[in-house]
Amino acid sequence: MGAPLSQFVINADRSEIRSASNWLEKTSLEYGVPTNKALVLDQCLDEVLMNIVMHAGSTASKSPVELEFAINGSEVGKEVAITVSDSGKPFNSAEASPKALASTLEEAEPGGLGLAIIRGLSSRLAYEFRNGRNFLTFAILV
Amino acid sequence: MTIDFADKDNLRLITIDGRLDSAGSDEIAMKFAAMSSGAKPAVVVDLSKVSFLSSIGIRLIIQNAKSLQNKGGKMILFVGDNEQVSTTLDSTGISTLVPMFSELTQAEQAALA
Repeated sequence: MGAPLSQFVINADRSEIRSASNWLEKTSLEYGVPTNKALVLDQCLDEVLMNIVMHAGSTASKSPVELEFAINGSEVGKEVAITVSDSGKPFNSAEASPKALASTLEEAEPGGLGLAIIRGLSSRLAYEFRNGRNFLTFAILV
Repeated sequence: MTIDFADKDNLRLITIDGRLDSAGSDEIAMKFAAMSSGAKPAVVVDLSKVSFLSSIGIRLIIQNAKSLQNKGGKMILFVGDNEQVSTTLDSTGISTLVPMFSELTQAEQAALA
């Protein structure tokens, strides 16, 4: 995997998610990521950060959420990979099962769709827990 | 982030414009709930100008669609040619719970049916 081309830090706070999105938009533009692909990355990042803010617990707010932007080459093509690390409770988003979809509106419960969106949009997901932090990488081919 | 509505007989067209992420959803949540609270039984929500739809935005749509249905009304989504929004609604299966149309006249007919 390539070294990160850009890094950014936010607090695990809902009000700071927009600033992470602005960083990603600017960085994607700087490295020539097509607009439609940058939007997909932005959408995945929003879901990952909202999951941390809403579900990672109180330890997540004890240290900043760190973001890295990298471009990797592989046999299947070039990918843009975003790695998000947080100090919340361990949670493997790459293997957790998304919530089953309700079959009717009556049965539908709001929420729980973030994982489904991340899984549906990303071409690669990887997770590890080390030094007390979650590291989740999502990537899309560009 | 803007939200507005226009009424035509029994139909209400709610138009949302902007980025429906967590911050955008917070901005319009109260207005959206009030506009779709059953004053008109048939509601079309125009998402064609939404530049970004997150799961928080979808949560808002489901909450209001359920609330309207519980009052005997019906919510329909109009997406036009907005591929980002239609892809998200399709991939999460929401378009099977709250019907989605790319033509406004079809959306209006479905809401009034």
